[in-house]
Amino acid sequence: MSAIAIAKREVRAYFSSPTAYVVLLAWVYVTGLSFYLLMSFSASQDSVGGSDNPLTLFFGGTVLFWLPVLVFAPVMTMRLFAQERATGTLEPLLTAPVGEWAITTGKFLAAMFFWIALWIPSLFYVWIVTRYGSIDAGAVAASYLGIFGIGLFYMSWGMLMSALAPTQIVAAILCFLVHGLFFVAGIGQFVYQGEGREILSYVSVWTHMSDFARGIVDTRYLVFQVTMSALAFVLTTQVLAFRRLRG
Amino acid sequence: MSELQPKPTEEKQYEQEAAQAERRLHVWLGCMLLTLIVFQLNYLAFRHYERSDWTSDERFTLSERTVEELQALEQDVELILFLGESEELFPDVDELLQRYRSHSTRLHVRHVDPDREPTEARALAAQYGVAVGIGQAGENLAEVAMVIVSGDRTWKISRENLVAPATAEGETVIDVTTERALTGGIVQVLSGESTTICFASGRGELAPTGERAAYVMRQELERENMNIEDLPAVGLSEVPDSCNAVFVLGPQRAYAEAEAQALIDYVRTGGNVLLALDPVLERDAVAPTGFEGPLADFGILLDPSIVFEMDFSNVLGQSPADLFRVSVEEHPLTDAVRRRGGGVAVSGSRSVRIEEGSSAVALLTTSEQGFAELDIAGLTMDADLSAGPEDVAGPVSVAVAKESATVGEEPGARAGRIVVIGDLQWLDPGLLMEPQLANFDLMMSSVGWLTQRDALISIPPRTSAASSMSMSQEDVSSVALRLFVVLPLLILLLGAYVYWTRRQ
Repeated sequence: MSAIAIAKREVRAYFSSPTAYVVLLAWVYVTGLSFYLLMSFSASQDSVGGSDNPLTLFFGGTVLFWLPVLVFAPVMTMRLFAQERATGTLEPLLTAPVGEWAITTGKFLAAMFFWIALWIPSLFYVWIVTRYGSIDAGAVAASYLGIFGIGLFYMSWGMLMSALAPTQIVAAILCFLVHGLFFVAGIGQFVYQGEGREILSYVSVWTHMSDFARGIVDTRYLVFQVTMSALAFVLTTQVLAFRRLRG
Repeated sequence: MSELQPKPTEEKQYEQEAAQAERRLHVWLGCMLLTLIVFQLNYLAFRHYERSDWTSDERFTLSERTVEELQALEQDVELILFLGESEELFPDVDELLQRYRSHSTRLHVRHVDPDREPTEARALAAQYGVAVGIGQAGENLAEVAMVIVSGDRTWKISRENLVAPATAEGETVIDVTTERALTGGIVQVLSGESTTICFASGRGELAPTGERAAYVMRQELERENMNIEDLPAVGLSEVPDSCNAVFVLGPQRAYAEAEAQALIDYVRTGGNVLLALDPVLERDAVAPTGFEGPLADFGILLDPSIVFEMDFSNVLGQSPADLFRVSVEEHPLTDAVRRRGGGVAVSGSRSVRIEEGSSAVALLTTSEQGFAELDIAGLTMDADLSAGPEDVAGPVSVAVAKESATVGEEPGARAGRIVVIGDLQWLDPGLLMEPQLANFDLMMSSVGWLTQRDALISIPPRTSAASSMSMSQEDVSSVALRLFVVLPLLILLLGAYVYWTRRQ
């Protein structure tokens, strides 16, 4: 229950401030631009069906998806713990009769809530596509499953970086570095051969999303996203435990 | 002595620090253990995975036939992919191989890009007898796309085997060409036996090559590693032992009765024959084929008729005799065809009936409204199309199958098999590749049943539900308005509402 209370407090604080709407507006403009470009491209083609429809391309088929995600994910998670520390509210929180698990769960739920809120406007894009052609409901569902999985991964690692970093800026930079590292490692699959290529493809979030967007749900990607999120989640609780020990 | 003892506060502090250090150590060990578990889980997931296809048209789902083949693998099979990553085919083949691997741990994929790893590629190419040359852009290129290896057996797949023929504009067909080639290749390296199909020639039949070529059938037979041989029908007295089955596809001139009898005798002695005998018109009558007598003795009646389908929901062409769908009846040969559904289309067919008391089984029949017209001369443009008293009333069978009695008593003795179809157009490439019809499945099932090989790579073409986008420039502008004005406005309104309610 205390985790839910913390999550509510986080969400309320965030959505009561203009920051949430500025971020949402910026997000809608950036993703809207990439969707518009893909729709214009589709309109110029004779026939775009199957895996080449604008939704498949939008949900991870191109770099246009990753540019905003890589920038916005750190922005969303940097404040989770780093802001508490900057405002001096972290110490009271850690001395309160609330366990580290509850704090971490609450913060994580809040981050996931905002991540999901970011993607709600994309349902509008799905509706737009249905007006000019058909959509594959299964592929769209798989795309959202992929987005949820990527959200788990990005939010949990962002939260860990925020718990480790002394300031929000450092948290954002560390988070960007981690996400960027996995992203670049994924690109490495085009450089290396053999087993190395397969391993890099396994950790490549781009590969994950491009498969999800086509309607392929691969257990490897789900295991990677869930276990890596669990790892970051547990590490965050341990960071908090350390801080509590240190007093 | 009292000076040597630590002060109580120091002792307490020391104990606290020790406890903290111990707890830190536990945390560190816990984190390391968890990291190890996560790595282990990911390693397992990396090795054993499943890919489920959520698309409505199951475009990323392997055919039942391929899955069966992969799950039945009892020995290791290695697929050596020689395609360069810059080649257009590579992404699709790579994706398909991932699907294959998810069904069997016996399947190992090794990719060597001849352009990026020339030394390794040349070494492997030399090992498997593959030439590596220079492409148009100066890149290293292997002559084949893939080599499938199991034990000392190998099978090569060329690039041409992986590319589907061009489809009509706007047609959305899921390409299964690569899957056919791959599964076929795996079957090749695992099955030791080869089968020979003899195509009868000399009476204007459809041949594997040439002007009247059954090229789709030839391609599929080659994919099955079946040898194709020519069997001159003129003067035929005995079918050579090298033939596992004889195909007589649409002879334009009649066989001599002795030649036809030789083929039926071949069936009686354990041979297998496919007869596709469409009606050939000569002087307002259906010309005899030479098979009428020998087939009648075998319990199958070949009528000099033309079949009309009067249930217009089955008519696909311009007239009731032109192109129509027939029902597929129950028989071991038609199991896969019936499972697939869609029916089989024939055109300008004759009726093939079963003599009373014969063990032959009808495979394809018209509806009850269909009939077979025997009085061809009486057919005029303005004639009333209806079954006369002499005609064959519906449902009319247009294809039958029969098994002869087993010859010999030694183990492995086989009964001969014959399939007689009163039509040739069902083998038209357009009908075979039509995803809505099961003509392709009937062809593969017939080949499988006649060659007495149950496992054939019957991977039919499938349609995609994906439709194309249709947008004008005005539509694009309207999308821009919605994306950049309407949606942001909604978010601003939401923000204003939250701000207003909080102020209240």
